[in-house]
Amino acid sequence: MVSDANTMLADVAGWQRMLDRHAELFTELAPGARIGILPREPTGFAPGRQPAGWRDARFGTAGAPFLAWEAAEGRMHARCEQIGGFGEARADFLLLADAQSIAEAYAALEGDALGRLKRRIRRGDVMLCTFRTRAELARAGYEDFLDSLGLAFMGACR
Amino acid sequence: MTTPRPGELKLRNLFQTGRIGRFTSANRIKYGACCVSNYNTRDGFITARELARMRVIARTGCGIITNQGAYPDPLGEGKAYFRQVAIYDDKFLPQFEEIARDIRDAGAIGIQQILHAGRYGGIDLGYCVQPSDVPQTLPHFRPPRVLTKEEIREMVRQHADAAKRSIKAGFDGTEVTSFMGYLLATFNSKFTNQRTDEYGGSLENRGRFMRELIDAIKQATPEHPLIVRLNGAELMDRWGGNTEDECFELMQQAADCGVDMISVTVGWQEAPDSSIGRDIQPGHWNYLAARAKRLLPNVPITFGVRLPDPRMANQCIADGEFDFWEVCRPLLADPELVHKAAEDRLDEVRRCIGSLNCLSRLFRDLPYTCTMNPALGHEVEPEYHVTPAAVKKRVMVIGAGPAGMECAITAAKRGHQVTVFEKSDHVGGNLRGYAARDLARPDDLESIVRHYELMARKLGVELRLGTEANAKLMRSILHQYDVAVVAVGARVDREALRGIEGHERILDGLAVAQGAVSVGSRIVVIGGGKVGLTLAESLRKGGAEVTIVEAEKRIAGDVMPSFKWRHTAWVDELEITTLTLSRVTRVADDGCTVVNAKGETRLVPADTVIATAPRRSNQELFHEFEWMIDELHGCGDALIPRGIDAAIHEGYRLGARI
Repeated sequence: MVSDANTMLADVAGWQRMLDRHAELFTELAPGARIGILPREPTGFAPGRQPAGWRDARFGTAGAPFLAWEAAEGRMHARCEQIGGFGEARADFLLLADAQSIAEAYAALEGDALGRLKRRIRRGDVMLCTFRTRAELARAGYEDFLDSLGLAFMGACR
Repeated sequence: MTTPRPGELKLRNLFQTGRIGRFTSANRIKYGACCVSNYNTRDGFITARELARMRVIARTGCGIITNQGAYPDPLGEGKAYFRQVAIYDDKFLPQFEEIARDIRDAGAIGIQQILHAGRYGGIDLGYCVQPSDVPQTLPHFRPPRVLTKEEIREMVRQHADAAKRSIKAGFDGTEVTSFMGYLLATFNSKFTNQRTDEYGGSLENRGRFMRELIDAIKQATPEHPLIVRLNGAELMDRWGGNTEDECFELMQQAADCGVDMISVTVGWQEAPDSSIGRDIQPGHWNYLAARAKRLLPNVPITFGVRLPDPRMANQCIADGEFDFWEVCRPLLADPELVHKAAEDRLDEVRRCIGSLNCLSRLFRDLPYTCTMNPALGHEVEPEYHVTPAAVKKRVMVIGAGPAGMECAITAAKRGHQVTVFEKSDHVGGNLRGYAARDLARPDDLESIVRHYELMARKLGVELRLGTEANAKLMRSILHQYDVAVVAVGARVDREALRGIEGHERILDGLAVAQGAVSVGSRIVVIGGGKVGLTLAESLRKGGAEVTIVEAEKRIAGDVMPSFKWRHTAWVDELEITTLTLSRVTRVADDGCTVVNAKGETRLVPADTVIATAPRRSNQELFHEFEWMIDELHGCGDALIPRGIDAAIHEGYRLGARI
């Protein structure tokens, strides 16, 4: 499945079309704001389990395919990289997705890919990993995008 | 011995005495510190505003009263809310002493809650502390830092010191909360506790921090009861959290350590499901308390999650499901609730409608307020006190919606002679139509209307239904009134729709909500705010295909933060199509043409198009009445279209000062 995820995340043009269709969610983002999608498998993350010292851990010799969405010149740019650990992601937050979630979002790139991600986040299949404080994310202009993913940006008590 | 009041005889189980440690409570009602008020100073001192609120809470008639959670550490790692109170030093004690004295003077047992927020804490620090480095699932919270064993020991000591300080202030006992995923919960849960030392791994190890905490507090305050709030369900299963079975094994551990009472709670703040909102039926979680009681028959169990009705609580106690009814939000909505229950006046209670305005405000770092109780948080301000009017006036209120009715009953309580003029044949205004379409729980919203009808009757407010107030009517009643209050709400701005080709085909959302017009099976709703969403959701539920066209870039823009996710989830679950940054340009037989911000056009097949936006205030009467009456006021959506909170609050404030 990892190689499938590799292929899917590497389809930068497909992800870019999706991002461009949702450009309105990213208009407030400060240049350099960066979101990442990582397949969960090579990272060792699973519901209720994180590798010890995961921030500094390496993903193994092959590393992991990493889809970055980075704000520059007023729009979001997709790019795919191979990274060896979380430290190389340089993301404001990461979506750690299981293989099925990546496949589902990829299959919906011309349609409702963000909606699919949102549903998968709610189900716990995509885990969120934030590296910035709320104030930093707010200043970076993330509210629209996080709201579209159904993530309660300003607290959650249900 | 005093003669029992009629309600006390009806709700005998609730009004019987109870035991906690060596103390006897006057009844089985515990005021729960369900959330903090955010009324205090940034550095943890209790303010006059807080003291005034707690004076009201002390007099609610509860047998046990819990003061809101104070963080126990000087760094503020345990601080979760902007203006949360602190108890890490004696310098904070004078105000705690005053609260403890008020509670004792009211005949209640006073409990001080210690709240170290753990994963949700460190609000001023930029990090939070946790047993393990488990990333946050919500961006609201701060990045974690792992606690060392030395820090864990220090935290236990800080909790014990805070407990000692609470007793020194005059409280009878203490409470440690793990509610909603706070520090204690993060040690108990296998989601956040992945340590490999003696504090992590097995359930026995994960419970070690809790057992050490209980031991330390019991040793520090041996004569005083300790309550622990523990999850019956975390609702974090999908993230690898504890199962219900594990939650109950942890309760057993707490009981074995000699805790004096267990408060059963539900859910974490970041749980993907509701636990306390209006979309959860009252009584839904009672099974968790019943299970705790079966497991621990000798430990007092207190419970109140989504259990707002004292009659249900009375029955649960009778059935042995728990021992104490733990109630908070319903008492914020109506601090007289217990007294009304005791006096058999439950019909007069202002019900908590579960709008979660309180929490929405907290998460915006604002002091909490209550939709149903405009005076909450303003107890210290005379402007919010309902006092006899210096001059009794004849007041005409135009409009029987929430703003007008709130103003009417508040003014009537002050001795004014009040008449309400209402064009339609019912009380409730626009709320009536939309309440019935609320997907969460229509009865909660409809209870507002029922409350106004009842109180108007009891307070002698004259209702002139089916009477439109206009210049002609005013001329016919000239000089019969001293004050006119315009509370005629808002309407869909048809003028703004005139640019749409075929606009005359567009139905008014209110008419649809009230069932005054029929709709087809393929519907476009213009406006994705709370009104449009409520209508769209109910029409979809009824089987229609629904598309929402919203001019802004997001739907639910005017929905409270704590309910926003619920609406967006419903839209998702019901498969309602939303077109944002879009507007309707043409309505025809085959549907409507929608243009988005990029100028792209699409035809949305539809047999019905309904407008819920834009809205404009009904302000015409202000001009018409200007020279016809001594005092002319307005309130609610007639000033600016907003919603029920502003309507009730403005109606109250106006009624309190006329």
